[in-house]
Amino acid sequence: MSDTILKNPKIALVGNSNAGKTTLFNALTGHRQKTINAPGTTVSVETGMWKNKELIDLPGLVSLYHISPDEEIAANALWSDNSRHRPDLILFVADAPHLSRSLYLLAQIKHSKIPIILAISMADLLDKKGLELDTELIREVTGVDEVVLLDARRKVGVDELESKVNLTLQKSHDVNSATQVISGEDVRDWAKKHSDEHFKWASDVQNTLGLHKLDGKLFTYWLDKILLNKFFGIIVFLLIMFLIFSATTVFSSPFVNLIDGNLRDVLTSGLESLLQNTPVVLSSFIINVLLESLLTVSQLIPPLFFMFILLAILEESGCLTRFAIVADRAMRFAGLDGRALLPLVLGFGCNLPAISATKALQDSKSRTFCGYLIPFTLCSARLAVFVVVANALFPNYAGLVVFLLYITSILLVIFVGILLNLFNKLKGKEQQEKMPFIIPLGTYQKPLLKSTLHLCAIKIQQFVLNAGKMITIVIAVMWVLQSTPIPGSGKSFAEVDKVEDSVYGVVAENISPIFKPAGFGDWHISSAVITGFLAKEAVLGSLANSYAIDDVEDETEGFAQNLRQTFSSSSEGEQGLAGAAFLFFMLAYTPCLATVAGIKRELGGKFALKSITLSLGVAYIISVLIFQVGGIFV
Amino acid sequence: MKLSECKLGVALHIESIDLSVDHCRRLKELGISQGTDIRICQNCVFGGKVISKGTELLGIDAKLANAIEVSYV
Repeated sequence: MSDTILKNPKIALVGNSNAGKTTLFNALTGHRQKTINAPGTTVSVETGMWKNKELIDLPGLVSLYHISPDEEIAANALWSDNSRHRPDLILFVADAPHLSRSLYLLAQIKHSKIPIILAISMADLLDKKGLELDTELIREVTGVDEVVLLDARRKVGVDELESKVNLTLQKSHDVNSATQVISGEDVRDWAKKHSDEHFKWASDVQNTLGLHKLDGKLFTYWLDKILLNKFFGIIVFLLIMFLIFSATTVFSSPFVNLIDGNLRDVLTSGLESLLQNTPVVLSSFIINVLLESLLTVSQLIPPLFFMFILLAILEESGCLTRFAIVADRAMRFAGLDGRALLPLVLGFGCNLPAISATKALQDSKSRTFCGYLIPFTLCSARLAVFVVVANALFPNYAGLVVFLLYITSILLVIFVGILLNLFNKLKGKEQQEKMPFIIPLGTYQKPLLKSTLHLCAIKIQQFVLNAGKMITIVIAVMWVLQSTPIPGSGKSFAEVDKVEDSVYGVVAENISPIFKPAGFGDWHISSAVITGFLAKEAVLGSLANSYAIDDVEDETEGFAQNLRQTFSSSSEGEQGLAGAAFLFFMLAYTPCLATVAGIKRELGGKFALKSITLSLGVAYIISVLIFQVGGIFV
Repeated sequence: MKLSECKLGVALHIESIDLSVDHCRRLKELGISQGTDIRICQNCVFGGKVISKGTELLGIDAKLANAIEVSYV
């Protein structure tokens, strides 16, 4: 082994899902972590620095006989000589109350010949019950290099872990054994061939350690009797969903309004007076790009904060896996399991935290599937646009129109889910018989405020750093387009007053014919559609700006008249159909920039492009169908 | 008898599992196989069940509960 391994050794966290790997990873790396996608896949792997050591949080693994892309990445990282994630040391994480569940995987991992430290997490749960695990006996019986008992949430045992990791790395360096692997054979074939001996080893270890004697002492039956009750389970589940939905939308809205209202006004006027003597281009860039980006990202933090906190509480407490059982049957329509319902329900509040919530799904297939469906859920930002536009175009039926849009949103999620399933079947991705639903349920734990807030801070920091960059770049591009005057307008850069005098206006004018088949091929509308890509709330502002109206709320009738006139002229008098086509287009077309940035962060850039294409395609087809087919009957 | 037909709390012994070899292997990796002693802890909505095996709890759906043949211990 080369000396570089001791300078920056690579340590992989390996274990079953919900064994406590990520909690330990967060405790060890703190804010020094990032998410990367495994090459050519949407499987995300978390990496981070623990002092001089590189930690890799591999996807949860039941066995080296992998059955999902996530498991395949983890299995190959431990198996293949040339995997970029191949570690110098394995931190095998097993949770104390369910140690026997991890033994079969440990039996397989032992053959990788990589040094192993068995980190037994959630040791506090054993202490509370007055139970003990003999670490020395476990080490002898299992043959791992070291055993450490941990309570990662309280960082108990972390110092001992560090000294044992250093010791083991030093030993492995001395004996020069860490890079020996059994290679040249497919990991699944190997796992299958040796399964009997591994099962026997796991069973023998379990008997020697007396793990079966822990029978029934750690259960919290009474909570399961409520959460999983045959009759009340669904009601409790829906109630908790409603609370999360409210918290991410209603509770966060005062903070969002504060940022978007008072803070925006104060900062804008402050900067305007401060930058009075600076060139217009510079002051415009600072206010319209830098400040705008800062405010856009800041507005996203409150809903994300509530969302992350509540999700962390649900996850840490052990409730999230229970909900998966309750919602399982309902999610079968889209080939997903029960865990997918939570992100989809949250999407109706805001798509962005919903995308973040896909993180809780345990395999990449479910995450990508949900990623495709979430943009079709009607978020509250679109609702604001629908209310104003529906009131302007359908004053007598505005309520009914908005209600129909909600129903359409739910139907779209189901329809696109079924379509994607069919597509996967045609491509041969779903030929195997589906595995029946089985999910290990963790022990209930009281969430800790400190660790929950810490986790929340890490996630928000990651979001701001990743999504913030993309948001700033797109806002800057929009600013350049809006600030560049068309030749002959007599204006100079950054001094354009009217949208139609800018390159942005020309772009909107040029793309407007695309929407002609849907009845809204007009530059006012196409300009609003482009702006809606930034944020759906901005659609109204863009429309008002194009009509030279300062405030939609103050000039409701003028705004409505202009809008009716635009739709009437673009559709040759069929303003109702064109308006309906526009509303349905707004419902389905690409989500806001922040959500796209979230999709890119969670599922990768390629997937974000596919998602945008799907949303745009579905939106366009629906709007054209409404206008063209509707025209036959009207 | 099938697991789906059993009462809550009774100790049961798995006699057989009527699934493909690969699915049976995954269940065995999760601790559920022929010869395992289990107990139903909770009947859930849509025929799902929570079963216990030692200190472990597992949630299963109606399809799996129908595929597991058990006898009383």
